[in-house]
Amino acid sequence: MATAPLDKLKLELRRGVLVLAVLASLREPHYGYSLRKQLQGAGVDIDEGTLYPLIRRLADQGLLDSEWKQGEGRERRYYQLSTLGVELLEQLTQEWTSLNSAIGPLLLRNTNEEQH
Amino acid sequence: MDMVERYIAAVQRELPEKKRDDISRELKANILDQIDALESQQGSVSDAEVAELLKVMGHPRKVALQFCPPTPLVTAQLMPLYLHTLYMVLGVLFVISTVEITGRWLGGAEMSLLLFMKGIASDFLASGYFAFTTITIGFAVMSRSRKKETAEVAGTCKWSPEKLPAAGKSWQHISLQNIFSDLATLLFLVMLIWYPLWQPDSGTQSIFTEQALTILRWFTPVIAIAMAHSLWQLRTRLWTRNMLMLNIAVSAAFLLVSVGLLMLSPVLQINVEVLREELGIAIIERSAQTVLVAAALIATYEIVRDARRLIRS
Repeated sequence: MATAPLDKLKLELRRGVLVLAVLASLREPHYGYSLRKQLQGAGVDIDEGTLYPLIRRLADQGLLDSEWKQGEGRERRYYQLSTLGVELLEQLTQEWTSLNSAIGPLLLRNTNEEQH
Repeated sequence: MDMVERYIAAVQRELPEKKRDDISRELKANILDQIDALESQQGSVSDAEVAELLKVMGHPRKVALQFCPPTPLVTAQLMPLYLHTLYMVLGVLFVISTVEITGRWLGGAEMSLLLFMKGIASDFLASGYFAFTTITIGFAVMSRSRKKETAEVAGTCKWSPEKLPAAGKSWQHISLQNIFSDLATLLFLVMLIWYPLWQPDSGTQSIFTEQALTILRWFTPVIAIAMAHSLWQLRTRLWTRNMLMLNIAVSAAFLLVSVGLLMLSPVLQINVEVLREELGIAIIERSAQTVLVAAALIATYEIVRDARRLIRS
């Protein structure tokens, strides 16, 4: 019944978190597909249609450096955090930690109240 | 592989030229990586599986839009100002169209009520298209130049909470549509009453009988006050107690004049020679009476409505 609003809210919730996950993964150089695999391995499922444009947008904003490299007989574009990206990731991590420590207890408290 | 090439070409066609090569090069590398991964899992990949993979990626247009989302003509920051400008200009054009077509009608152009309405509509649409296009292009240009400057909503930089109007009922807000339709009606009425004086050389006679015209001419100052009130509403856009009282007085005057004219018969001075055969004098007189009854009813409704608002406020 509530699938459509739930999907919309999940999408909104994931949007910002995905940026953080992508930035954190790109401390090491990755090309599109290898990044997607790494995220999936870490439990963050993201489809190509979202991931590839997102990496390009972050690169356009100067948070990522990119370079075409030949590997396994084919060229691939490798992305890695730029200096600006490293700085921003640090600030975003602090923000995430602070939000998480504030929201975590809030969610737990509400769950406990419902159980009583 | 041919299918992948065709898919990339289809995406390319939907992309802006300067990003076309770069995005398609990267997209191709990503798709080939996925096919390689499938191959290493299964040993080989069939055309049907490649087709399925491309289907999962999405329609070429959708993929292109994900890489290059369309930029709106007018940015969200400028949208409120854009809409306000559009409504104001279209409102003024509607008033001008009403005045212009009424002038033509009173100047002797033969037109039935339907043609008169059609005349206002087509004159308004002709100037409206131009205004709409010009304003939209202007704001599109502004949106491009402002894009990098600020994320602040236009027209919101100078304000202070102390100067905000008092919180009131929802009816307190006056819509632009109401103001402009009132202005158009009042201007139409003024032209109807005073047209023969504006064009003394044309020899045009008033459509009203002498008695009706005398009443209406005495009534003109009230119309002028109502017009000034409408113009003031454009500035404030909120009903106040004083404005409500003035509106009750104006509506009461309209009610009195409508009833006064209803008691006079006939109200219109009809030129029988010009009149088309199918429209009888009786029908026109009855139409005039219907219009007067409607005007009286609207005025009564406005008096009751504004009095109730005044009591509750």
